[in-house]
Amino acid sequence: MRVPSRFTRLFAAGLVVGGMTTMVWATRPEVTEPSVDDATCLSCHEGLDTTLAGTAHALRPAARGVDLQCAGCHSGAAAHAADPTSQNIGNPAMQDAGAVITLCQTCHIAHPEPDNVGFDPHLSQTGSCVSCHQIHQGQQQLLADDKAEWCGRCHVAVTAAFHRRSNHPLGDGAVTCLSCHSFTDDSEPQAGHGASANCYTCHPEQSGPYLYEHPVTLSYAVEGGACTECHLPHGSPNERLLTQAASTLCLQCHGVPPAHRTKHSGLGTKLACVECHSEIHGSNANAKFLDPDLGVKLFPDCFQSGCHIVND
Amino acid sequence: MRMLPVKSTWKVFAVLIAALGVVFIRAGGATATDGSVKLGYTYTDEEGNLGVYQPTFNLYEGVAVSLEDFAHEFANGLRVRGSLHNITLNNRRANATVGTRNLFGVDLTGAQYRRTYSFAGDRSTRRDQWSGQGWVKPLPQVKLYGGYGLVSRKGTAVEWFEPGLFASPQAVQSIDYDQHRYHAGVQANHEGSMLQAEMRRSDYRDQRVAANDRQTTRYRVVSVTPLPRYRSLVLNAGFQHFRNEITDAGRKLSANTVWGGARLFLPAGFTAKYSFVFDRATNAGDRAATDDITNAVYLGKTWTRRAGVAIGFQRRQHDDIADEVQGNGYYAAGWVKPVAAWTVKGEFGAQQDEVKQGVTLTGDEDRSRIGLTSQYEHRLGSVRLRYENRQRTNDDIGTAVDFQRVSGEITVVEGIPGRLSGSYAVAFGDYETTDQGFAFRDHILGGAWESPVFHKLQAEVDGTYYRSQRDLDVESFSLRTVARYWFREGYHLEIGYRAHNFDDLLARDRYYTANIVNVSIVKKL
Repeated sequence: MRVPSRFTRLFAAGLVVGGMTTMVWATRPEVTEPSVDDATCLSCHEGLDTTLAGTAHALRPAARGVDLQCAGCHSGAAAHAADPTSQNIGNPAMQDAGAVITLCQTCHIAHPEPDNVGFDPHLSQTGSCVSCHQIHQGQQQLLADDKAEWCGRCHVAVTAAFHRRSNHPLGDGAVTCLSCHSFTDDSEPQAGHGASANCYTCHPEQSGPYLYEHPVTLSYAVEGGACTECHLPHGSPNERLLTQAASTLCLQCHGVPPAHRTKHSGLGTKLACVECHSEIHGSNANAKFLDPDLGVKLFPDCFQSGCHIVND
Repeated sequence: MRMLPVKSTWKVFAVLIAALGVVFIRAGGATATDGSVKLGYTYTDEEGNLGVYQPTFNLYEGVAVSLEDFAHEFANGLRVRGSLHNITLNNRRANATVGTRNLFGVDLTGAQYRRTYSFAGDRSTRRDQWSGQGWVKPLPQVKLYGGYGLVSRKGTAVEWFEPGLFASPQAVQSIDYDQHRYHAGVQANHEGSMLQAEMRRSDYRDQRVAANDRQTTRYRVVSVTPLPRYRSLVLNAGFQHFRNEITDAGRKLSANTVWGGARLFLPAGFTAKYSFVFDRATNAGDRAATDDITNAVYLGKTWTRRAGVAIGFQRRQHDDIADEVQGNGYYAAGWVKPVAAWTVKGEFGAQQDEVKQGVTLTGDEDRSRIGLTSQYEHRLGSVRLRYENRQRTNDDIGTAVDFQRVSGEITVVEGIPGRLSGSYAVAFGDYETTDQGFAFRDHILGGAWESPVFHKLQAEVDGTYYRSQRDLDVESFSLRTVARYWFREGYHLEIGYRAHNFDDLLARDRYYTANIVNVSIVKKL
């Protein structure tokens, strides 16, 4: 798809002008005064304050415009205190997503988009903060659960991908969704070294730097490159999480050199590329990523005869 | 730095957790304890090629003892959490956390994983991963943190793929490396503002080839703050210096990155965002530098619980010593709820990169992705359908990728005993390359049923069938069943059976079958 550059400029300018114009409406969120004090609530809901003790949600009187009393999150407390039923008290765990998001954003800045494009689908569509966070019983970052099964309830197709021929060891518990997916906030740059740095934590042997780099592995040097250019991280129909089988992956970017077809009865086309170019992530010995032991391992005659040298 | 042998490390870890548990429990004053202890035996019966089926690479037979999801909290707010999974077997995993919610915390984790490469299972590598980190808050707004991590991998791997035309038993590769990681930092928070400064470093040591040794160091300062008096406008900025060094050759690569932006939450559900990133990577040897510059703008509007829409534009520029590439990205997404129970959403993204100067290997590139989802929620359960399409074309070199996936899922939670769910996904991939293509069609069918507790008995069954066709011809199947019987308050007997099967119908020696039985006694703490 080609877009005229004039349209591109107008599109970008319109977005900027639109955003700047609407800035004048920016207002500070309003905080309402609680109608019932905490002691009244705790006289029936004994012990619930201890689940908040020591957290950022620890009960305390309104300070600096932030209300951290029971009634601050549970709306309708006055009516509930007069006639205690489960129907007349606001419980964020049971409320619709819009109401919950509005409530939480009184104090919290919403997550930026996890996929780094557009806006957070967790918040804007069917989910809400309490879909993943439990305020009273949550674990680290008040997450309800850090296991893959929790995310898999919604991300069914992704869960299915872990059943393909090669996959990351999610089923063994060696990794979880959170091992790779941190819900990045504005403190993270959205380009640069991000994507590959995630992989290199566990796979340092491929991280480089090398004297001879394979450029596609450098996320900071090639747009859209890095590990996921060749590997499907959840699961793949091929070995080693590769997007394509064997040499067809290499042929995505590289042609078969003519000499591979013509010399020695086309011997070079009968092997997988990586049988010779084995140092495919990068090499400290060879600009063509050839196996340093090639002369010993596969073709001793070629090199010992003097016709070729490994770095030829 | 000399490290403890892996086995010793595990022993120290287990003893440490046990000692912590004893000390804290004897200290008294506990308000709550949770978790369970599990003692059992795992029996395995495997046949075929042990190097082809990943889900059982980390499987071991023997007595298995586990402490699962242990949590103990004291009246003073001190919390101890931990898990020791299969501590008596070689697929053990562990984690432990000690601390209070707002004063200090110490986290320890350990895991290992075996990857098998050969038919008989005699060629494999083992990856051990350890990490420990701690934090303390000397002031409510200030957090100091730091940690250490180790990744160690040892063993023998087969190089790349199954034996080819000339491959011999020599085509193996020994692997033996350690990577040590350190980090330390300080973070200050105040009324929604955050300032963070940190250092991260890693040392990679290859025990086979010293020329592979290298070090990575990263320094970073980040700030996020709402604008005073206009808290709906949130600003962010950051700087990072990143340096890679090949120790043996003395070669250095470094990069400086600056980023920033603003996010604006407006009345009536409007949101706006702007962000930029500037990155310069430099090779210290030849002084060649590569610049990457990105600017992005997004606008969104949400009608609470009814509909939402977002559009965005991104401009990227890549400039190195020989080439210059510029690209535009477009994004649009929307969702609507025609009725409260039905959600339809769609997403479109596209990126066009054009080589403005020089000649790059892949030339001009167009990428796009489309996602459409329809989900209906009912008191009996839910139904979801999803379609995804990703395309990439590189006209200059005549290559293209066309990936499509259709998936469906149905979940029934009422009207039957327990919870029943089923899913089906079919994925198509077509790749045009410079010489030959690759195509696949994957079917993945899954189902699960979890029964309610009936006369102290409960059962779970789930299974997955996988089929890959066209250029590949692979079939696999897995079934898992678990039955539990509560024979006494806080105790239950758990019997599990798993069956796995894998067949690569294009290769005679690539098949695998396993039957796994696990019998355990579980005590709830």
